This record gives sequence, C-alpha cells and structure tokens, in this order.
Amino acid sequence: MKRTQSSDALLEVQNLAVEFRRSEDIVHAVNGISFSVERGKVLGIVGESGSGKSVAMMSVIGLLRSNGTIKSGSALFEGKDLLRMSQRQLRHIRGRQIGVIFQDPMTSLNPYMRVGDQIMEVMLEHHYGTTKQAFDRTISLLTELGISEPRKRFRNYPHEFSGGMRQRIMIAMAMACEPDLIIADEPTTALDATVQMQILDLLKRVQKQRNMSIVMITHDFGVATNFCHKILVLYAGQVMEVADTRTFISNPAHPYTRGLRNSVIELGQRGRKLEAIPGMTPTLTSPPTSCSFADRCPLVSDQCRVELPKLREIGEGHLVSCHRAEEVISHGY
Amino acid sequence: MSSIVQGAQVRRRPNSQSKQAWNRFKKNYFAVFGLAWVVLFIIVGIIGPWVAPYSYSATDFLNVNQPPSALHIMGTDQLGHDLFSEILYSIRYALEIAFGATLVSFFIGVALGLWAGMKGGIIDTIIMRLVDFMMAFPAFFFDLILVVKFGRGMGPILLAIGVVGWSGYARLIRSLVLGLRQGDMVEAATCLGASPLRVARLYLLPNVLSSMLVSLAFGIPNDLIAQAGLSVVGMGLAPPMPSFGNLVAQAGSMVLGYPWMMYFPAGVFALTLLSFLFVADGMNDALNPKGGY
Amino acid sequence: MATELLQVEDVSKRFRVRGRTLHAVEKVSFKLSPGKTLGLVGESGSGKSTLGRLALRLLGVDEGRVLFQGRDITQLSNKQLRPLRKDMQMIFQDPQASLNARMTVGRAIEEGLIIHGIGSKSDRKERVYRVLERVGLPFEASYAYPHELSGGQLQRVGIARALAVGPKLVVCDEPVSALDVSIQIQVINLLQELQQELGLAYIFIAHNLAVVEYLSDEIAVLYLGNVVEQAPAEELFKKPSHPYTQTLMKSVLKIPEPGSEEQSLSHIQGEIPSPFSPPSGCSFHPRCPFAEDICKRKKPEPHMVGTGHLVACHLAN
Repeated sequence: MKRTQSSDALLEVQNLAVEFRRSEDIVHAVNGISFSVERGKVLGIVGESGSGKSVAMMSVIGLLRSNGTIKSGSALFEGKDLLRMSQRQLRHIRGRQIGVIFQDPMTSLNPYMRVGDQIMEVMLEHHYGTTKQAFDRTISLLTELGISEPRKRFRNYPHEFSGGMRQRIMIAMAMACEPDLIIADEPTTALDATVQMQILDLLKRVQKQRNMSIVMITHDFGVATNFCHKILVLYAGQVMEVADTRTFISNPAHPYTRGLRNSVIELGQRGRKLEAIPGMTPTLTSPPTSCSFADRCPLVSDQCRVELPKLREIGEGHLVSCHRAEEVISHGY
Repeated sequence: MSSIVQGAQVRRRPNSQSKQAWNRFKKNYFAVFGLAWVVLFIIVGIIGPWVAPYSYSATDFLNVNQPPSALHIMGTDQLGHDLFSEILYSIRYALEIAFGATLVSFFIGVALGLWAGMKGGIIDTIIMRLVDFMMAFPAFFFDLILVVKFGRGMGPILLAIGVVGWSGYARLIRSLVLGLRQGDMVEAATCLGASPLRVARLYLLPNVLSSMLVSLAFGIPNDLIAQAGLSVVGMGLAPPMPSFGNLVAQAGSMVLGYPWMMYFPAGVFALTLLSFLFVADGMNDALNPKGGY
Repeated sequence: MATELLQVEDVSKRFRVRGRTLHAVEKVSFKLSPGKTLGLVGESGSGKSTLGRLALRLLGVDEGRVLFQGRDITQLSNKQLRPLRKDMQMIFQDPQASLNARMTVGRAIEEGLIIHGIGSKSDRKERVYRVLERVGLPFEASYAYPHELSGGQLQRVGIARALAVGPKLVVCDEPVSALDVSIQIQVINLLQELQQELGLAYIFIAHNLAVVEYLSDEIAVLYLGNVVEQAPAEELFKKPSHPYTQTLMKSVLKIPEPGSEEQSLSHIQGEIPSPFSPPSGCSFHPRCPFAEDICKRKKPEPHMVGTGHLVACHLAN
C-alpha cells in the first residue's frame, strides 16, 4: 500500500493483524489494517460485530484478551511503537497520554469508590500534580463536563448517578491527565437517544477546546458521520474504505459502505422499501484470499471471488478496497 | 423474499451436547487423571474387601508396626493390622458414606430449592430461613450431635452428614431457578401457553442440571472430609471398622517412629480428595462452557 | 367495536420495589385492529415494555381492562388464558435469552404446536420446516442449538416460534435493537412481509422513533409511564405536538447533507427522572423548554388536537 508519512499523525498503525485462539480453530479477527490518527482530529472506526473494530484498538493499547495474539504490525504513537512495549510501559501511557472510554460506565467504574476519588486516582497514579492540584482539577473537570454541584457530587458513588452522568464521569477520568488521544469504544450505545446527543455534543466540545484526537469506535453510521472528521470502515478485520467524512457522505465507493448507509433508518421513510444487505457477517477462520464481502455484494464479479482487493487510493485521502470501486461511484447500484 | 441465509452457513451440529461436553472434558488432563483415580477408587471400593489379603480386624501381635514388606506391602499398625487391607476397606466405607450422604443432601436440597424458587412468597421465605439456620449452625457440630444421638454406625453417620449438608444445594438451586424464572426464556414459554409444570420440567430443570451435577461433584469431597473429621475427634465409624479418619488419627501419635502409617492412608485420601475436585472442576468447564472466543 | 382485535382501556400497573412504588404504566388506552401496527416509543423507564406485557397479560393489570377479540382477559385465570395464547405471541429483544439453550431450534418452534395440540407429529415437523423456510432459514437449522446460530439467525428463530402457532397479535419488544445494522433491516423487512401475508397485528416497541415510524400505523409516545402523545404515524410525523415528541424526533441522527454546516446535536437538557419519584404536574416539565407555571402544578389531561391525535400537554392545541 502506498502511504505518505503525514507529519501530523499522532498514532500511526501499520499492517496490524490479530488472531484469537478458539477451542477448535483460530479466528483471524484483524487482518493487516493500517490507519493513522491525526492530531486534533476525530477518526471514526465503523463496523458491525465481529468486524474487529474494538479488537484493533484494544490491541494497540495492550488490552487484548488473553487468547488473542498480535501477529504483525506496528503502532507508532509519538514515534514509539506501542506494540513493542511491555505492559509496564503501556500502563504508563494508558490514562496519561491515551484515555479510554468504554461503552458501559457501570462496569468500568469501581462501585465502592467515590467518583471524585476515582478521577483523582488517575492523576495521582500518573504523578500528574499534587493531591491538592488533582482535587482542584477534578472539580473543574466535573464542572466542565456539566455536572452541577461538583463538590457535592465528588463524594457520591457511581450508582447514585444516572447513565449519562456516569458516562460523563468516565470522560472526566479519560481526560484527567490531559491525554493527546482518547479512544471511545461505543461510548453512547447504552444511552437513551436524548442523552446520547448530549454526550456526543460534550465530547465534541472538549475535543475542539483542547485540540485532542479521538478514535470513535461505533457501529452507528449516524454517529460516525455526525461526529468524526475521517471515517474508516472495517469488515471482517479488513479496511474497506477510508475517507474524510465529506467524501464519505457524498461519494462512498465501497458497496458495503453504501449498504451500511442505506441501512440507516431516518424519519419520514414510511412506505419506502429498505434495501437490506443480504447474508451475515463472516467469521474468518483462515486469512482472506478473496474479497470477504463478495457473498453479500450486489456487484460481485468473478474477479472478486478469486482475488483479494488491495486498498488503493481513488481520490485524495480516499482509500478503498474494492475491484469495482469506480463503477460504484459512477453508477451507484 | 427479503434475504436468504445460505444453508452452508448454518454449522451442522457435529455431536450431541453431551458428546461436546465430553470432548471439552477430555482436553483437561487434570480432570482426566482425576476421573481415572475416581473410577479406580470406585472399583476398589466395590471389590476391595474381596481382594484384601487380610481382614481389617485380623490382629497379628507378632508383626506390629512393621515397615512395608512383601507380606504387608504398606506395613502394619500397632495392632498388627495389615495397612493395605485397612485402606481397601476404608475406601469401601468412604465410598458408601460419601455417595450416600451426598445423595441424601442433594435430594433434600434440590427438592426444597426447586420448591422455593418456583413458588416464591411465604414458602420461599420459610425454606430460605431454614437454609440460613442450617448455614449459621456449625455443620460439624451438628454432625457430632446427631452421631452422639444415633450412634456411630454406618447408617447414622451417613444420615447425619447427609441431613446437615443440604442447605448449600437448596440455596444454589433456588438462586438458579429464580434467575431463570424471571428471565425471557420462561416468559417466552409462558407466552406459548406452557403450564408451570411444563416450564419446570422442560425449561428450568435441564438448564440447572449441569450446575447441579457440578455442585454434586464438589459436594463429595466435602462429605469425605466431614466423615474423616468425625473419626479424628473419635466420633467416626467405631473401631475396628477402618476409615481414613481413623487411620490418620491413629498414625498421628506414631508418625515420628513409623511414618508409613501416616503416609499411605493420608496420601491415598489426599489424592482422592484432589481427584474429586479435579473431576468437579473439569465438569464445570465442560458443562458450562463460556461462549464466544 | 367488533372489528377491534385488542382494546386496552385505562390500564395502570404499579410495582412495589423494596417498599417504594413505581408507577410503570398509568391510565393508558389504545385500540388495535387486525393487520395494523401500533408503535410504542419511549426511552428507558417509559413503561413501554411493561405495557406490551400487560396487553398480552404476561403481567396482571392493577386497574383498567384489556379486551382481546371483545373478551376481557384481565379477569381470566392462568389456566383459562392458556388456550388463548396461540392467538397472541411475543418476539423478544434478546433471542438468545428467550430460547432454551438445551432445546434444538426445531423443538423450540414445535413447542407451541405441541402445547396447543396442533397437528400430528409429522404435520408438526412439516410445519416447522415451512415456517423456518418462510423466515429465511434452511431446514437444517432446526437441528441446531441456539448457541450455534448468529444473532440475526436467532431472531429469525424467535419470529418463527411466535408465528408457528398462527397468532393474530404479536408484541415485538425491541426486536432489532440488539442486532447489527445490516441485519436490522433484514428483520424489519421480514416482519413487514409477514404482516402483509398473514394479516398480523403488531405492537412494536422500540426506543428508536425512526424505526417505529417506519413500521407503525399509529404511534404512542410514552414518558415515565404516561402516554404524552398518540396519533396516526403520518400525522405524528407531520405535526408533532408534544415537546418530548419533538425532542425525540430531533434525536434521530441524520446523515448530514453533503456540504451542510456542522450543527449541535443535543436539543434537550437533563435526563429522565427516576420513575420512583416522578416530578409533580407534567412529568416532563423539568426538561421541557416551554414549561410554564401550570406544568409544575397540574398534570395535563390528554386532549384532541387533530383527527385521532391526542396530546397530554397544557400548551399544545
């Protein structure tokens, strides 16, 4: 793959491949993906379950499950390869330079610890200021993240908060040490629609104010197109398409991307026939040798079934791995 | 037609569920080793008394405290009993008490637990308070009282251990049933028109069975220990009937001079307990596999 | 009157949880004709799932009554109710949890037929294969256990099980929200086709207004156990009259138009209050951008603002 080394890349992942051992076979969850996260930008990683979107990011920050192995790749973060680091070194980076937000704040927060202490803990762990400074910073973070009466709420336990408020606490923890990068793994999926919007707005605001980078892992096309600068579509552990959001909306070049886009139900579509993508997402038990989407693709040709499409550039910063991308753009389907 | 799921994508089930569980069990070497020992233990328990070279009560005062030899492969104790024969008999009694007592507690526990979980309300409250009482009361102490009251024979000890040990099973079954009863599965069955009895038989029981078997397997070593414990304080099977507890207790005072008296019974007993635990653990992994990769 | 399949009249349901009372559903009424779909939409704690279960009498009502084909089912004993079950079925959010892990898929679908004594053994097998094929699964699937199928396939099994007994009413409780995006559309299309073929009536429960709007003839919007707005789908979409409905509509994420300006996504402050201690007056007033004094004091009664369009808001007219 041709790739220009962009000078403002904060995280540069190259050729990452991850496998999982199962009782009878091996699942090829991530199959050689490359992408970069630019400073001050939001990258959306979009995919369905089993696409490898979470696995890819979690292996980059050393949170891979024990039956998983990183087979190849590098992940340069500020010039250092995260995949070559020990857990000890990674612990130093996680929370300090890379913050993480998970889908379900209730299971990621310690139920027996006051939320304020949990936020302070992150800073103290990484020697980010004195206890006094950590406390002041916690209060100002809580205020900034829209939690009223922060001094009182500092002393509450996670179960005393609503779902949206808990997610704000998680964001505060992720932001505690002013990291350069935040990885958000489906941060709004478990929330009610109205609250989801609040959290997205909030994340967007702090991202802009602090010029942070965010990697937003989501299955929701709506979230990705409204929140991210650049979008990466994963399918069966491979990059299907990468483009900035504008290109993505106006000119999706991969049939899978088009299918996903048509799968978003918007208001006012009563009576319109919805175009479903037939079939189901594959679980790869051997490395792909042809296009993984071929079985579900409306444009499938003989070539697709025998030749693995390369990720190629069809426009500025617009990469797609489909033999027939040009036809997709010119004709739609 | 909206969409077709290709037939090839539905994996044909290679084997029945029990076969799959056995395949998982086989991969756990500790469990397989444990199972082999347990099977040997059971076989010896059945045929032991017939193959034992001496009677457990045959005293031979000319050959007391003998070290292992060709005649007495595990040596003799201070009364000249052949230790090997004593261990063979111990295995038989341990087996009877362990399986018997465990089954007694198991049936009491399953019946009460199912009843409490299905019915709820006042019946649940009464049964669970009874469980609390049984758990709060030191089981070993309760065993002692029952043995003192009813004697040190095989039957009374079996019942004493059995009657005392049901509370754990009851609690487990009840919590399992309760969890299932409030879940979607039972609601779906009710929605299809299934009667409560049908729900219990086809939905609840099959789903708690594997956990029940595992807890049963974990219960056996517990009861073995309880039995041995009774012997150690002199309340187990009345001598001269041998039991692991008796043998170990006796050997305790002689261990400095005649260590084999301790090594053999304690070794066999420990290995047996460990084997049961390995088997139980293996069953747990085999019967309740966690999905996904 | 006789044309209504289901009439729900002023039903209320309360739960007692550790000495506190939760008003899950309060005085809700609706009617459903054969072949039609009623959508219930709301966020967590709105009582939409409880309402669906009340309609099937999987839960007993505390007040009001439910008429199924003109017959009051609230007073029937469980035993009297059982034969009626084949006419009213349910599809669950999590198909894996709703299926018995120790029962093959074929057996699970056959279960309803056995319970209601439908057909001989070979008839039943035949029928299981037919219904499996209809929901888009090969007949081999009937030999599989639930854990061997994917989420989308399992939801098809859930649909097949509900349909095998030939129901007239199906309550679909968030049937697609646990599925992948591409599979959601498959299932929605399938549900719609089946409705047309078999003349089913649906109660479709979801938190996503766009999905509900797509599928329903009539929609009831719930907030903390109360219906705040109820109207035919097109009417509701054209003229949303309750501030909460308007908010929900804005909370459906649209893919932005190419070249459009970036906009703020959020349109409302605060979160849903605890259903144990709902706010006074109109339960929506603490979050309502238009709230006035009366909203805090007086609970708004539902009133008509158009043909079949009910709104419970002091300010809507």
